[in-house]
Amino acid sequence: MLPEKLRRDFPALARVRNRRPPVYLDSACMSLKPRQVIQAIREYYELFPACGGRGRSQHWFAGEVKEATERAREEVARFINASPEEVVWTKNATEAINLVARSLRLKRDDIVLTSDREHNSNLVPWLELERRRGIRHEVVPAREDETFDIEKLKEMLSPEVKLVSVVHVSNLDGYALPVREIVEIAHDYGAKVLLDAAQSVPHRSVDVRELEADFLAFSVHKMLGPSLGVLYGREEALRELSPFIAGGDTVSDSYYERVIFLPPPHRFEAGLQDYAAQIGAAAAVEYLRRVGMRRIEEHERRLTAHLSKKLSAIEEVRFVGVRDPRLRSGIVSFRLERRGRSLVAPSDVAELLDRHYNIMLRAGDHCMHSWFNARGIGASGSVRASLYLYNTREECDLLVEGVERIVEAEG
Amino acid sequence: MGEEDKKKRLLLEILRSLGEAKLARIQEEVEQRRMQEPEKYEALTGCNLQDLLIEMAEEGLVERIFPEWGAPVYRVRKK
Repeated sequence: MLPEKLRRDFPALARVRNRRPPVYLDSACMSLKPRQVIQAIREYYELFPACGGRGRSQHWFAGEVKEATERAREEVARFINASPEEVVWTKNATEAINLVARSLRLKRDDIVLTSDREHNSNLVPWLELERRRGIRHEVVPAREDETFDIEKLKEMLSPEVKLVSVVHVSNLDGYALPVREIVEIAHDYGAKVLLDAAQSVPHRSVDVRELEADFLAFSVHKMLGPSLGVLYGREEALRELSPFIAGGDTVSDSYYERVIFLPPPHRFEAGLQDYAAQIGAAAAVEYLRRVGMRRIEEHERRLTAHLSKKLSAIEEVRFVGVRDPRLRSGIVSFRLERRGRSLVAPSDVAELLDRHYNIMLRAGDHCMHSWFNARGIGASGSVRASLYLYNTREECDLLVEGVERIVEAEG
Repeated sequence: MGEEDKKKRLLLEILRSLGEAKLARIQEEVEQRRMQEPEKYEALTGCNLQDLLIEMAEEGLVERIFPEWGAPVYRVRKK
């Protein structure tokens, strides 16, 4: 397990309400921030809060912004074993996926395949392209045990499939899809692959050279950093994309009748950027690297196993997602049911845990309405506890105690 | 009638028929009615019932009663 002294780096964990500390189990949505990240952002605003970018101001402060943001791109690239030219800053992972959706030259009847457990951010853009451009979006159904069906993918692949866009690690239950295999098979058919890595890059070592995906999207705010997204694109794959949002900083020259776009990544980064967030991103990956991604993954794996085991002793707990608990990493989703009926609504569970224990977690459909609707669970969804490097066994035990109390109160 | 008012009116109707109920029971009833009469209850599709009930409690339309420990109970406020 990771040392508890690491928790001292997170100022939010020092807060107290009703004589209890916070128990933060909502990192799949937004992680807490260590003081090293806060300090890096603060330095930008206090010391050199100026323009960055190419061909803009060339004074003292601007030079420092340029240096710090170039270093940030290098750090983030190194974190996933990419080159800096392959890293595009976006608002969040959703925008990164939209960038690919809008800029990849997909035409009528081209097929985009997704899994059946996609976050809305990797579903809605394809449904929109279906409506606007007449592409076809098809869903690879899961096996009975809710794991990804590679054989089904093979059956559905054809020369018309231009893109396979799947989640790497699910925000529902922490299940990791066999992405290396998916990439290999998709490439055999000439399809490109986009990975929604919002729940993988923050929690495990991700090497884009090893994965060989064409695109990979993730959010810095889920990995100790500020609100910012990243689109990784293999150099040739990025060059094939048309500009997304056009404007200042995306072109090397412009005339009244034409423009000359910069090569990637700059052609995709229009207008003034969030320089403070980029600098904060560098501090976040530095922090994670120092702790060690393999240690973080192992820590979360142990906590997940511990939490799953203790929750499964409560008769009313019904896990949501993959059946095999060993396949859950960092995320545990469940409902409270008795004799097949909902005992306590997930949002009531979340409210009670927050009110009485300061346990913060998420209830609902976690932006995966399609998955819940297809399984007849509807809008009530599940309770989701998502873990990170600052969580402890004691916090997991407290969650179990809270759930037991909620069940007891129902008689 | 606005969309929000329609949702509230439907929820009041459901809550009246249940007497008093916790959210889990209300959600179950909404799902059943949506299946039986999809057109009538369409407005409640994808709706965050908890948020809506809290809003209705603030407006004095329903009572939100907290037991010492356990999920809150809802019932239509008597005029």
